[in-house]
Amino acid sequence: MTLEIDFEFKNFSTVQVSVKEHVGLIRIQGTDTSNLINELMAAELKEVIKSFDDNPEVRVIVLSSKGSNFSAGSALENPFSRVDLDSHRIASHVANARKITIASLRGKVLDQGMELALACDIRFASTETNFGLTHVKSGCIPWDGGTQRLTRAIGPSRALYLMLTGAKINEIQALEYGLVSGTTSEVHDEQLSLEFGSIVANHGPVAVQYLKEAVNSGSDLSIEDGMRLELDLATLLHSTNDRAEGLRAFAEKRKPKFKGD
Amino acid sequence: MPLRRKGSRSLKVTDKSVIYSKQGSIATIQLNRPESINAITQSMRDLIYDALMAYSHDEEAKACIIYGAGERGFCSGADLIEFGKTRSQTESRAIRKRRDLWGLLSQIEKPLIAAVHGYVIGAGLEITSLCDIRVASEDAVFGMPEVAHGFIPGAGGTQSFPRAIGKTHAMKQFLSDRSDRMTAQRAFELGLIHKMVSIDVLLKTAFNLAEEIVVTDLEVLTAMKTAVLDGWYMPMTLGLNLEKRLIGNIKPNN
Repeated sequence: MTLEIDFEFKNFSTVQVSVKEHVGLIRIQGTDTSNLINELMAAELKEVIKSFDDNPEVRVIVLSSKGSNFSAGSALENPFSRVDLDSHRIASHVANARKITIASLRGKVLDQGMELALACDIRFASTETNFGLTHVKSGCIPWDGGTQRLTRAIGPSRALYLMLTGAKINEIQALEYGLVSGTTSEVHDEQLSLEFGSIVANHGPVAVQYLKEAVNSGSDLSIEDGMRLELDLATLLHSTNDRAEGLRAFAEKRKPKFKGD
Repeated sequence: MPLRRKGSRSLKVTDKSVIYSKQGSIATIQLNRPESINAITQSMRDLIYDALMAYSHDEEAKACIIYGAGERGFCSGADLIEFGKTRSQTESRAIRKRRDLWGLLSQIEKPLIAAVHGYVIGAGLEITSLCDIRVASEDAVFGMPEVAHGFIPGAGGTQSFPRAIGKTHAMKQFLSDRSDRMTAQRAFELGLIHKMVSIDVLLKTAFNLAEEIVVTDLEVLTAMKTAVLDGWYMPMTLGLNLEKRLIGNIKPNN
């Protein structure tokens, strides 16, 4: 898929950024093939995520990588040596994006790379992808949200097994565990993610953001409180032009044209 | 505890778009607007509400099967034509609060069994996700198309569906388009569906499950649902206390 770039962003050194038809694409690009995440990459990722989140032209964010690995982890050799781990943390910034984030995964998805992937809403992986949180092998625990997000994604039993042993799993097992939403062998993972991204970009933009809020905030609530949140968000949507357009398009049997208002 | 009242409430309605009936201790709710694949209208919402209240109040009834009439499917969702005619935000919220069908469905303490076939879309899938036991025929297809229409699921789907199959798979389904609906086989693999059978025996399978359930005392069934569903949101120690308290309330059966 060739990328026509609607507008150029300033040149970052660790991330490559483009937007096509409302799909914002971020490719992380480390200094080596393992795509290790360093302080600069964390800072640049934060900036790009924020600018995409604030830009109405962007309706969905695809997080991918240059080269054959998504990311094998952090460039930080010893997390105990640094006081300010926060400048290396990136996962919560990604997880807090209002827009849907899709992780396009291949090769090594380890340690902080895995924690970054876990912060996304949707994960697709190609064949020969390896997942793992191997911090235990260096006497540490995950420090970019992994203990919390992996447990919520696949349940405490499988999460503890993976984190206590530092075991790696492939994409087939990741699909079974519910760690990834889909795998691909025929097409490149990035293409699958971009295709799914363009489906998401065709939906009502406000509705998609509210859906994400209802699902993510609701998962920490009792079902009663979650349903109350859903009702309030659904009622708020009554006033949008997008909803009116959606219903009009349904009645006229055509595809809706959403503007995000 | 379920609301208890002597005798069952009879429904005196001429609208046949929802049919409530009972055989022994097994109640059934049939969505009956097959010409529209049982798309849920406002009056159907009220009728389902009444039917669930009747089930809840009926001391004899211990299991309820929800299913759809016609060949094309269980339910194609909310009736979007009617949807377009809704009033102001405040009014529709007030109506919802007055007769909160989806809240009732999620809080009813007696077992609910969904027996679904064909199209199980939008509100159809949301009703299914709020049931405790879910049986589907092999031809069932599941979809949540709301965001493609510019709104979000409003019958509890954003809460019940991720709880049924996990957030990873639920998010993908919410954001997919109609070309990517979930098959019965996939729904079975993900745990949305507990039994997948041929369409000829769908209702029979649901009745067999209901018959297995109704041999148990009602107070045991409601205690079980309460322990699992309420306990799920509690810290472990409080959940274990809840279980102890519920066990203590059950009278030994001789």
